[in-house]
Amino acid sequence: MSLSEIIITFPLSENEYYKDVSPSPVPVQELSISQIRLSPEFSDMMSYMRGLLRDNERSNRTLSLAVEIVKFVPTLYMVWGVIRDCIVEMDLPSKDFLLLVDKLTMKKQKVYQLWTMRTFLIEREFVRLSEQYSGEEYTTRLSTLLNSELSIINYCLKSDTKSYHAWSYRIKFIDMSLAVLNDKKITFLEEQLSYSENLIVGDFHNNSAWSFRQTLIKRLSEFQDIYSNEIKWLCKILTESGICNESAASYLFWLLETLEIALNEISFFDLIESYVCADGLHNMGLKCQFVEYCSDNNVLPELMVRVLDNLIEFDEPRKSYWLTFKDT
Amino acid sequence: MLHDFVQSDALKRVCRGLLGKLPSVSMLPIRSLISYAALSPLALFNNVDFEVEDRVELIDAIYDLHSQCSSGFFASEIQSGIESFSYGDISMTFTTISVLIMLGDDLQRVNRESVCRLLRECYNDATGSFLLSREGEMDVRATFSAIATCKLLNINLKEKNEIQAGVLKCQMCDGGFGQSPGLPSHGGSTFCAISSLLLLQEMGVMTQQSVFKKCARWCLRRHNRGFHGREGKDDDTCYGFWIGGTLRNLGYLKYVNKDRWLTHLGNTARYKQGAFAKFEGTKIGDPIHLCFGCYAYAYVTESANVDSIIGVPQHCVDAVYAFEPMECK
Repeated sequence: MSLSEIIITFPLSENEYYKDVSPSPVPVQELSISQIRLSPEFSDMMSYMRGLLRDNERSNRTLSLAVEIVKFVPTLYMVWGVIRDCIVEMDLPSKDFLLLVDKLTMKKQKVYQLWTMRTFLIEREFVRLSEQYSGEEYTTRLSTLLNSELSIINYCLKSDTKSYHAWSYRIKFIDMSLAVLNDKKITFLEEQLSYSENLIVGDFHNNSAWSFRQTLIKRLSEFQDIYSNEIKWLCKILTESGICNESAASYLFWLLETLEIALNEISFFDLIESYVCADGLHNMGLKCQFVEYCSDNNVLPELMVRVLDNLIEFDEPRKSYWLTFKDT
Repeated sequence: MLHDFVQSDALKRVCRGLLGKLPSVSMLPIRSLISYAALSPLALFNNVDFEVEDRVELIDAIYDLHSQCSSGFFASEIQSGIESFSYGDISMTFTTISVLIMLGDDLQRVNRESVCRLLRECYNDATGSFLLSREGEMDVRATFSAIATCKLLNINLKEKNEIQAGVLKCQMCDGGFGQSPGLPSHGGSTFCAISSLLLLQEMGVMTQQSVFKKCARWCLRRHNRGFHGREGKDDDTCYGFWIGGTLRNLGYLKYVNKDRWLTHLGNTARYKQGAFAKFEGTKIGDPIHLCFGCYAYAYVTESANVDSIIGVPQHCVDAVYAFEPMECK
């Protein structure tokens, strides 16, 4: 029987596809800590799946049962492991399972197991494409796969711009893609850089986008001299935004460290100075890092003290830190 | 009020309930974490011996399952008795060991060879990192769980330098740590990374002070009233544990505005329910925020002695059996 023919109905003892299986019930201890009460359907499914695994059966019916279980409880690593084993042993195409993962991810993004499974399936797809196709056809199919994956990730990030799972997968996916893109690595990274810029321009406070950009720049720096252009890009962004928040400030000080140049040597130092001298609570993220930078590098003492006084007055959560800073 | 809250009947009732039968199968993979969350407030501010019935039998039940696992401790009992799936999970191994010591066990019955098999199965030579389990992710949570387990069981890993290098790759330009290299800085992963580095220091692998200083500064910037886990997010009770604990471990807790923090905790305490909530605006408490809210309270008031690197009451760690060192082969 094929995967699509198998219908899971309860009790499984009366299901035509499973009635010959000898179930292995989940052991229930008489007394145990934080014991989970398993529902009758879940117990039934797990008993039969355990029976099939005990007999080392990797088949469509094992797979169907495992798929049904993860729809019920998507966080069971063991059951995803069963699905993975079946896919490999039965040499099944990844795309059917990608649809399953897509569907479950749309319901609930914040499930690690879904993204781990996705990584496995996509890695497999990359291998399949390289083995089955070559030349123009390989390039076209690879491009389709990349675009489709990026669309899914973009969709997830649109609904939750800070989704750690989606960002984590995006970076993994970029590294997987770089491994298979031969002469198109730089173009691919530049497209991602453009994506990060759109996000930052759209929401300057999108810290994940800033972090992502840092990761991309590091990747790109392996292929080209990017840092000097990047500091010019930062100048443009800071000028257009009118602010410098914590993320942008971290980015600035990271670039300075990487390029080994001092803050007061950059062409837009006046702009930064105007931001750190802003009244009250404006640009607090920059002010904090500016004071620490000046102290660490023994530079701009007068400006540092002026900003420090602002922090002591307005940065209530960290007041005692700044007072100690001033004393030392 | 908070002082009474953490010792209240309502809170103890919730904890005891979480140690009993749980209705949701979705909790199955994190069962040990639920136990840890329920025991922590009792171990911190109350008396586990008094509050937990059948403590000894519960310990026996944990060891019974442990004996059926080929490597470490299971993520859940659904794996028990199935040879091809009888492997352990690193984070659940660490959490279960924490549960055991909070129940008053000294870990003598832990099969250290079995734990070493798990560590070997999950260690990745190329990156100096650990998988959570055969099917799990590879990130700094697993590294912390592995190193903390080694510390409690006095297991020596020869790859300490590589592991340190793997953790350091996770530090971002802002000073915080992501879950894996290149990922945004996050409070939870920062705790895991710093705790791992500090534990590795105890094992002789030193980290430059500049790493800790940069991280401490990032952590301080996470403080508003309570703490948030990432820039741009709201203050969340549990980051009092992750970020507050990290600041404590780095010697920077003295700079936190404790009045603001206490106000935040007071605003997330759900007195009648007996739990802390995630945000000030969240109506219902939950086990995870109950647990970490209690640790946060312990940190801000210094009302309980905690091993904040591992994340367990200090008296529980002190009572662990003094194992002879064991090489993890």
